[in-house]
Amino acid sequence: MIEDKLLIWRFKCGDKAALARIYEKYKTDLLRIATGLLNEMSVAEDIVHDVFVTFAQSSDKLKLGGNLKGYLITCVANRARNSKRVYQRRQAVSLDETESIISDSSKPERWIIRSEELDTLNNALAKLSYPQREVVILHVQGGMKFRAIAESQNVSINTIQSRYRYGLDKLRSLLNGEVEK
Amino acid sequence: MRPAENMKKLIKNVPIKTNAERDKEVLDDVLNALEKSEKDYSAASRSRIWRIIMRNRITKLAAAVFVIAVCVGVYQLGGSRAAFARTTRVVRTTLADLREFASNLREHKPEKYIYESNLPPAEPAKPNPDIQYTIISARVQEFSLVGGHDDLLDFLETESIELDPAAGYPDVSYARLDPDKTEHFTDFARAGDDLKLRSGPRLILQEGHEGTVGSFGADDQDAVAIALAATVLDDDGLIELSFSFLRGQSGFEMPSLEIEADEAVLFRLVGTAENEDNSNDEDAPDSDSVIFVLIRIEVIPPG
Repeated sequence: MIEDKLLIWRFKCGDKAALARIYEKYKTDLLRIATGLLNEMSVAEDIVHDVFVTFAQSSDKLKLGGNLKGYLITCVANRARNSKRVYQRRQAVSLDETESIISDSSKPERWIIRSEELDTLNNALAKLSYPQREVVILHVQGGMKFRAIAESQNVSINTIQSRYRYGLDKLRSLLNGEVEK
Repeated sequence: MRPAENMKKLIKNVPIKTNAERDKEVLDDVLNALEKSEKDYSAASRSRIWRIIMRNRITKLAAAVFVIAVCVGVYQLGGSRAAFARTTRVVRTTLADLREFASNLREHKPEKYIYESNLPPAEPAKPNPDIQYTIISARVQEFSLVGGHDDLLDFLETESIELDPAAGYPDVSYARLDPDKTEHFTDFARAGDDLKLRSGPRLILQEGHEGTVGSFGADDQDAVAIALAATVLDDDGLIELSFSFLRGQSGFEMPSLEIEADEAVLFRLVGTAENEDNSNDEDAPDSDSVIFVLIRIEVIPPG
């Protein structure tokens, strides 16, 4: 945490090395969260890319009271939610085309190198409702407290906890074999 | 382990690897965005200062006087020396007013941090998984001053330990200690008359990377956070250390320091410790606001 405070201070002073360190430190966590939320690597990569670029542009006005990781995760979650809304509104992409987009993501120029474990988990997460998926990912992968998630989504903490319970139960039944390993 | 915990572990630890080339491309974009934003910000602040000047009657007047004084000065350059001296005085007074105004302006920008850097910006840390890095271990001991200064001052004098002020930051002074002096210092501290060991964290970091040594002092406001980056300069164990200090909203970087592998650095931080009641000891008014931090560096070669 102290390291993050120092990094933010240096970043606000325009120190590129500090920004590079923030990027190195959190890029993997953010990519993991974004792919879990969207199950579409190209969109997830774009979102994390945009979050970092917007963060870099905010050096002069950033006023960060809480922790840096939580802030970046919330940025990713908000953008993922918006992207999901836009996607639902369009509803233009057919299932076959979606499949081809996912297949594309194995190309070497992709940011994320796909792995079997990542695909298995993300496919299972994709079968949860979006609110359940979001809570499970933000709480387990992002380490966010239920209260913080509830506040960021403007719903009660009980709702968040129920979504988490149902989400985890469903995941358990979907990934039964994996969990036993 | 319960199934729920297994499930959480599976979700949390799912491996994710990234393409190094794309990593670099994205990082370049991010750094360019910062650079562009810095340029835009400085252009915007210049126009903001001008807007503030023109919005306020007094500052507008000061700016006008300044411009007139400069014009008069230029016009009279070919005239008498006395007239030129008079004009110079006017310009100086006006400049003093403007300086005062500028310092007032700074109060309107509390979000801008004070930053005095004596170092060029460090290269971005890019850990390469194929390289085995040298590991730097820093053993850190924090001591608070519990007694008077006298014995400690005698000890420092006897050992010829001179604490030099860190350039640009009067609250910090430091000294390099060879192994003998380091041992004598810890023996003196262990005796417990003047110095009391408060904590002894240990920092492990990769060569060339920065890590936070710790936060020293009473609370979040007064505490000083120290960060350290170390580079091994040669096979004989010469090490370059870069220290950064942060207190509240301000901080600074010390010019880098070269030490031998078995040497230590002793810091004296003023105004950081808890404010204990020392009214019984009038001779040691500042003793409770001083902290000493001893950092011993050890190099662990790769493999």
